[in-house]
Amino acid sequence: MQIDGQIALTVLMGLLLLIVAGWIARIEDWRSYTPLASGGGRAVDDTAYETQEKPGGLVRWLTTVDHKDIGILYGIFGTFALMWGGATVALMRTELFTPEQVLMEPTTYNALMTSHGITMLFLFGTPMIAAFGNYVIPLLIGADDMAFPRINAIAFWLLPVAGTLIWSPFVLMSLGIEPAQTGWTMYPPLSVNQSALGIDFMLLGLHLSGISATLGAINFIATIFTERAPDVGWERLDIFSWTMLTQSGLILFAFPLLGSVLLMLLLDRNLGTTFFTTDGGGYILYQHLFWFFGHPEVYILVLPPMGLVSLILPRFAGRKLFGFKFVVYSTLAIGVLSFGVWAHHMFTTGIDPRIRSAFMAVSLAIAIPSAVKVFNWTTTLWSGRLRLTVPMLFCIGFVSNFIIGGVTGVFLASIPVDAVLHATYYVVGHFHYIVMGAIGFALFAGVYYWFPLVTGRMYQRSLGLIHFWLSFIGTNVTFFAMILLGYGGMPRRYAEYLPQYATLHQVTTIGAFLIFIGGVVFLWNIGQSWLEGPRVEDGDPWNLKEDGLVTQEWTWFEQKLETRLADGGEPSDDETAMADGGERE
Amino acid sequence: MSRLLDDRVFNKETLLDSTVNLVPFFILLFFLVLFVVATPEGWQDGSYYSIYMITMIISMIWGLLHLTYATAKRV
Repeated sequence: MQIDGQIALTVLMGLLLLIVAGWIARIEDWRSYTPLASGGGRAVDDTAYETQEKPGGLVRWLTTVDHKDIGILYGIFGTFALMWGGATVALMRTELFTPEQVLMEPTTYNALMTSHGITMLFLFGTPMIAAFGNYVIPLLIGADDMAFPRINAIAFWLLPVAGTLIWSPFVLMSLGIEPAQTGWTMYPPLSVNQSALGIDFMLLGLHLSGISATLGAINFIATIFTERAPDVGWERLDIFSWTMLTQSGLILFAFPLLGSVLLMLLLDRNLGTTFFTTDGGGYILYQHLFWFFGHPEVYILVLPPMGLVSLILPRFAGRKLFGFKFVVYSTLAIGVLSFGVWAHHMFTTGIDPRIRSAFMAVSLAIAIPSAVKVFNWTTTLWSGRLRLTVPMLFCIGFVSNFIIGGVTGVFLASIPVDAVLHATYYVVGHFHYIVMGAIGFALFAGVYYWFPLVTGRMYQRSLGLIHFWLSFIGTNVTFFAMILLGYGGMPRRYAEYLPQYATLHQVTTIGAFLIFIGGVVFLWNIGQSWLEGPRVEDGDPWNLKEDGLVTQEWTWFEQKLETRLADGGEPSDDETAMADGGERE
Repeated sequence: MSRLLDDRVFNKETLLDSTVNLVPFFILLFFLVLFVVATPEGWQDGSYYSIYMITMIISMIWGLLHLTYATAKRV
């Protein structure tokens, strides 16, 4: 009787699946996904999709599969995440202006700190890189679009859901849903024992963002491998595409592991499994699995910005990147070695000294390929004809901050030094020099550099300069003070501290507010210039032709402008833009 | 000699470009030799940890050389 019941249920489920499959087949044109299924010699069959124009208004943005539109969507989402991440840290730094608790409970501080880290890494950094990748890589390599446009759209639309899950506990606090207070590393036993429902929300949200990143990575790999124009061989592939390709490879190996870890953590929290309990798999297992993802994540975040700088910096130095192939080789070296350094985050956990030694060796070795790039950039600048445009200033700022961030990191690779400095503000200062001082700066450089390409308008140079100098001074004031705090022994992740650290904490907070004000100026500049900025009528707004440094995307832009005028488009009566923000003689 | 090099994957130019990856290679090699030759007593006891230490460094050296070779063939 029981077996009959099971059979009936199976048949019912089978029927249900058939009905769903039939329904999907009716509403969707599957041949458009598999153009070669008919054995045809043409790359793309004629389908209704090709002849329909884009719908207008909101529907366009909700249904778009155009890589440029999706790039813009990623950019808008990333900017929103930046605002959230910036607001959380502004609150935290305000609290830290005084040694004692003034503004918020320590639990709220912990929640803000967790949200700041998770947001900046997963919801700002990764999506913002994807924004540039989506918009410019098909243009740079001469592809019509990404290899899988629909997967591209799915990858993006998972992100708002992920963001909602991660951020919503702050809104739902009145319903008794507490935000996570685990720090971005979510170490058990803390993350298993805390009852906050916000942790489950965050784990699910992170899982979705991981799926999004993985789908995006598959798409980038497929696009760069298969969609390059015939004249773009591997030897002619631009440096940004190389770094995106390596980053996508890292995502492919690292993010599925994060997904597994998050699921195991969810199971430990909700179903009583013992993957990471002390008498089960152990919390050290979690740290190994997490950092096997976590350290490549650092390179996932830093490689494409390095590519951006390698692409943009030579354009304003009036010469080609010095040692292009050095950068390619060293990028790939980082790709390999980044999977052999994860336990340097665990030097003080009591793991065997031999294991630590192996990881120290690889961590010291990986410093070289990163340092090589610094030499490439500085040598490119050497005797170059420098034009200090806003994107160029951010590139130079990147190199400067990256040197401090990198050098402070080399010391941490050494076990005895790490034993002293672990879990102090030194570590926070070091990695913020990289994530804000380097990655953030490169992303800003990218925004300013391609602003005319994306919007057809030019930003305001004066506001761009204010943004740069506030960010540059703010970054160095904030994070250098943090390094000094760390030398003094100030532990990280505390809402209160001893009075002896007050002065340096106040300096840090002032620096953070400089960055914050710079960020507000940036948002104003981008928003206002997008709406009202002078139109770019020249297809080469950076005068790259002069030095023979035009890349494919600007050729596309020039053609776009020419086509628009040929269509009879009336040039607007707005003022037209000069290079770098409409500064007129 | 130079003609012979030109015909192979590692011609003069590629050799020069890929030297950039030789530096991390030598750093890893240095530590490998150090850990095999001059380590504290009891480190080389054939346990999981000692085998792991050596395997980890060797696998990184292998990965580095392998990828450098694969890249040299393409670019």
